[in-house]
Amino acid sequence: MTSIEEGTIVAVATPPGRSAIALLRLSGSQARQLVAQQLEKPTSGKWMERQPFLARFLGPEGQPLDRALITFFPGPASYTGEDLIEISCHGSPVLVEGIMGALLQGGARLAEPGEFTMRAFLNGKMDLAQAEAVRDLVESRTAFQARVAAEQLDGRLSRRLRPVKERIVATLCQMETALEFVEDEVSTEDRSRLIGEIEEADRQLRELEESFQLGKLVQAGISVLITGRTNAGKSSVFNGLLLDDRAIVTDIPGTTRDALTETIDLEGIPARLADTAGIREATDPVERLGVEKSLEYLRQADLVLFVIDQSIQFNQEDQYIWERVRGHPCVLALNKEDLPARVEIPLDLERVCTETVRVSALKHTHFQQLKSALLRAVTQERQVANEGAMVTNLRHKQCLEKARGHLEKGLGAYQGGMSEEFPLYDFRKALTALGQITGETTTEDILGQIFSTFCIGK
Amino acid sequence: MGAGRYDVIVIGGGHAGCEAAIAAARLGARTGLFTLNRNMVAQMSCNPSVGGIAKGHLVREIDALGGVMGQVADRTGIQFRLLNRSRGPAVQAPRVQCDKELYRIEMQRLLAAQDNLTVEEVEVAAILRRKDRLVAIETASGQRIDCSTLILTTGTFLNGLCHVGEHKFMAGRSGEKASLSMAKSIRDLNLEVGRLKTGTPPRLERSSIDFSGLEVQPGDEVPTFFSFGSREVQHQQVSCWITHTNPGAHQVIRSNLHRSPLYGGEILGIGPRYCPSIEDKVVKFPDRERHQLFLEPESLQSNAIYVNGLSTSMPMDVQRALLDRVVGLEGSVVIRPGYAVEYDFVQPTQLHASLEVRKVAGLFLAGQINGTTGYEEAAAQGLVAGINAALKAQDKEPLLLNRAESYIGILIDDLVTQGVDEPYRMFTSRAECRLLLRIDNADRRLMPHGFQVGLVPERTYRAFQKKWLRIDKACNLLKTKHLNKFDPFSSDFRQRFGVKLGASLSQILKRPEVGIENLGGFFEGQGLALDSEERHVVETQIKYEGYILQQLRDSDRLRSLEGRRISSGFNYGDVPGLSREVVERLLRVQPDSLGQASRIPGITPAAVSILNVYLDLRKG
Repeated sequence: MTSIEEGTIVAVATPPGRSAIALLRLSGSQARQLVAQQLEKPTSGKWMERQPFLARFLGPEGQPLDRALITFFPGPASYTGEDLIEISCHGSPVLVEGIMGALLQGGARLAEPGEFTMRAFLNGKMDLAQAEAVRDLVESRTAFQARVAAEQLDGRLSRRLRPVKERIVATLCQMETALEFVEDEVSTEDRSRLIGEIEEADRQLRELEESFQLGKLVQAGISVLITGRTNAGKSSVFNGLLLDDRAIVTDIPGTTRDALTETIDLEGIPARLADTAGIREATDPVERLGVEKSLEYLRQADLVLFVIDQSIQFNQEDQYIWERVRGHPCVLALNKEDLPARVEIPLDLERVCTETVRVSALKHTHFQQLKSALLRAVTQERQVANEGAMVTNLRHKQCLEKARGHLEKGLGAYQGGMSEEFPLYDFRKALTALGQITGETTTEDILGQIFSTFCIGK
Repeated sequence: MGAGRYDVIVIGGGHAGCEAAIAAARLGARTGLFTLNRNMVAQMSCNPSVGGIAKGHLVREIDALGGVMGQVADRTGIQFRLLNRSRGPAVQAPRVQCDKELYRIEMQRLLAAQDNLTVEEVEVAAILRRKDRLVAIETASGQRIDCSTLILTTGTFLNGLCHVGEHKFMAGRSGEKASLSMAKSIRDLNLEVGRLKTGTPPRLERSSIDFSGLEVQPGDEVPTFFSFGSREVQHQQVSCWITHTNPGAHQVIRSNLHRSPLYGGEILGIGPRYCPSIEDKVVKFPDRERHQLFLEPESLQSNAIYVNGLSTSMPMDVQRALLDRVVGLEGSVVIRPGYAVEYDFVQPTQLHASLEVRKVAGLFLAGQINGTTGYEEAAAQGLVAGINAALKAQDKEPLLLNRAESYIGILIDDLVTQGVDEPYRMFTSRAECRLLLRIDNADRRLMPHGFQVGLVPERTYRAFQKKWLRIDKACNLLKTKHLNKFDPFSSDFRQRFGVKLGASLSQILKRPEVGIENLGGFFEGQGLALDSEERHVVETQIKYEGYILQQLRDSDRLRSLEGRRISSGFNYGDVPGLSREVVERLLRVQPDSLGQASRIPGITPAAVSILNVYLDLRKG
């Protein structure tokens, strides 16, 4: 639950741990006073709007803690819309703790998760979609994720929605006029034109809604299960994919005993690779447990990378795996292309796998092609660098879905010959649903839901 | 209470004043209606009709609450039409063209016959108060008359300024003097006052019009009345005629725009966008080659024809030239030219939802003084002000209507919450729950209020209850009765509509091609006697059940927000996170509920959320 009680809030904006510098932020009407009382005097001439100045920061007993860089952003022209101060100090956890302690003791309150952004939203500094974008930006792990989030922060989704809303509102106005002024009968041509307008709005919303297919991949990333029979070289392929990656974002390796997982950057989409024990007919109980775990990974995977040794015949073991992974989106890696090809891929397998790539883990050949194939398999030819705004947030997607539901119900009513006031009812509901994306129409529930998923300090 | 001569004084005898005075008197308050001219009480200053879309809804609601406009219009109607007949039940509304003379006479008769009510010709010079409470009025002759509550329904008379072309004169209405001392008295109360404008078309001599080439517009064969008790028309019915302006007529206006007080800069008040003058229409819709004009007889006795659609304040010679270019009106005799009138109004955000002025306890305002336009809007406010002024004089709680149950509630909420910057007219699109606020259920929505407050007579209320028992019973029957082969209409249904045995009658009735008339004598067979209006209500409730249920949920949500009360002394400055601008806006309106707060212009959803949370905190 978010809180909006009075008070000046403070939080450390940089991640925990030792670093060169750390950044603390305060927001609220008391911010300046709270900081000023901890600084070695005199500072009177130094408090200039948006002009950093160096000052000695004192502890609760007046002992010097650090030389810190203070920047003052007076409200309302600040991030939160309130008086805001940033303190850059040296990045020792003990030091940061000391400064925080002094400020808290002086009367500041520890910020709740997302509270800075919540205040910015409440003070009208950004709309809801922008506020959510801040969270996404902070949490982004690839450059592409960051770019998409930054675009949303810039109000791109809101801007993309505006003309659609305007189109709906303009159509509504005409229909309302027809109801209120008897002289203005709606001709059949008018009716079909108005229907066309709503259909166009619906089509544009569908486009946006469909961008979520990709948007959610950008946001959440994909999980790829690497499988193949023993000695097909799946671990080598796994390592090969990692080796090629210049921007590896490493999860803590070996978190489970059942699978090795690593995250790579597939042209902006984070892909979590899992190298599992394998899928085979297991006899001993321990081995069976491993296979069951693999099957569990399989169920959760967005994509299967099936590694086959192309230097030998397709055999029973391959067939066994194929029967298990059939029905999942699948990319085929024919490993050991440095050796002569002997394998004969069954027809149905070849038909189902949209992508087949020959690689050699040993010589590290064609791994770029393999990565492109993985990407194509999940994006299904959709342009990653989509020109328009992209929906990356499930809540937005649901609002779009709801809006389209209302539009289509209203269209049905209108096309079915019902009088304007009935479709108008549905079209108005659609507008309300769209308004919920940017927070023009919102409820406390939505607010709470959104702001509770923020990390502290933003 | 009641130490003075009157409990309630109403100043002004227009549509708001008449409703206010009768309502207050019927509630037992000793009531005085003060007017400048007794004969002009209940004059229809503009068009000769009552009702129309949304306005007809208002009149039905006035009637359900126990007001009189509907009865008087029904009794003096000379043409009845149900508008939007081809559309759904929620946007259909009656419009009755009345005989203006008869309307005035009938209303004056009701006033004269009303117990507790005295109509006096008094010119009021000042409003007297002690601190923030109203105590008396002072007449132009210096006499002081005490009262508990005072209702101002001054229409266009406050600093009224009429324009005909370059010619302008102080008047509240053509030929009647403006009220200057009252306007000053209101400014002395420190109320925020603005300026609005309205206009009226020329009246023509019937015998001078050539009707031969014009389209005739008759009334409905079966009249739709406003009032619960009305059963038949009382007067001879008449037709109207339709003619059109044309490019030649538009040219006359364009070449004389510099002489129009509207475009020459003489008129400063803001006019109604929705009822524009002909010069407005020509300027704002340059592509339209013609505008429709309705020629409406004003009375069975008089010769006056009202040219609906030709409101203008052009100089007399331009009006003459304009008329000469319209088919049928060439050489017609002008009884009275069209003119515009500018007048003072009081910004209604200074009122409570009871229509009492927040700054001056006991002072109520209703009608055009609150920035509205239209007889129906005025009467609705007059009724509410009359009820609440009487209740206040009796130390009782006011009657407050909400947006989910009535257009009157919407009207008042819009006024006191949003304020006005142009004359306010009612539209069905202002209603969140439009599909529920129908003319066919106005009685169901409001008559219990009217009965409870004491305006609706017991007999009417009993008849109302029986009517809805019949309707509810009929709806239930249709839902529980399934088609079987012994039903007289069974084979008919199966052959004509392909209906299967076992389907419920309500399911069958929901099909677009089936109407309630197809059920033949079903209700009679079940011992239920429904008249045609009641059948229509049953059909509506069944056919549109899906939409109605959805709207009921909307109305619950609306009501729950209205239920989040904000006490009158609430200190918005204490609420963290509200910008100064938001606090100022809230203080200006002082909303009674969170729902009302959310509708104040410039109040962001975020601010509403903050208030919501804060109200919770304070409660806990």
